[in-house]
Amino acid sequence: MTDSIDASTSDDPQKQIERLAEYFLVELQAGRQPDKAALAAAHPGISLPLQRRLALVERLF
Amino acid sequence: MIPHEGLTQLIRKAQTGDRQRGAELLQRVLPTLERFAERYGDVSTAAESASDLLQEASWRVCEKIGQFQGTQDDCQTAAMLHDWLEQLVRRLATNRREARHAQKRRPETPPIPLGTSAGTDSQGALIGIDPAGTGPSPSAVVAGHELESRVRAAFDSLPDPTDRQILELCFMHSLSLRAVAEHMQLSYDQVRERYHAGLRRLEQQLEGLL
Repeated sequence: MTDSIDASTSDDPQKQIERLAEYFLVELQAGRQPDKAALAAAHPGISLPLQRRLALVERLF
Repeated sequence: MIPHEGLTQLIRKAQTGDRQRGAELLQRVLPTLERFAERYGDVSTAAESASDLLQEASWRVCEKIGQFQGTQDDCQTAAMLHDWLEQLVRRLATNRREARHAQKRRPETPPIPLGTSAGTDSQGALIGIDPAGTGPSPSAVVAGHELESRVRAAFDSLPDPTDRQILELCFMHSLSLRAVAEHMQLSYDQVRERYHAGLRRLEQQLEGLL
């Protein structure tokens, strides 16, 4: 799942989180169940804030 | 009146969890919901009440559409849906009014501490504390509702109505950021920026709950 998004092109952690959260929403809207733990684990440098953002997106969705 | 072409099929798809069709259905009934929200909103709090009521009603339609039962006939289904929506909005408005005017109740007798051993009632029958059930505990249910209302309150408190609308379209209507930009006649970058700003604000308000 994490192969289909490359957030590493941006050095700014906030931008990376935003790109990944957008990807996460697109997956949810498409009826898939993206694995947020795997996504966070694949980005260890931003793991915690990313998990929080994804949890929020999931909650709102 | 709700446009009835293909309505039965649209509702069926929405009921099976097709979010795209659910969003279409919501879009179709929105003008009707708006009219009911204006009709049943609390006149003492005017426009704000109608807008809150409309938002809550939209949430409820998404939650409850599975319970709606129409017929094979689109026209008839449209009429039934119209009545169902009116009932839903009216009930919500009543609940909101009652909640605003509700007073805290106090038990006539003091509550029994959990550590109290079982005794007998006035007829001499044994009474005791019920064993724990297998479902979610009352505190878990309350916590779930608490979280739900905190999320909704945080959402409602977003200061910029445009930001709020962008998030609504993304999350309640399942629109992509590009579709939102087209719908609102804003640039994609503007929508994207506002979308993330809204999420950051919600995240701050819900800190510790996520």
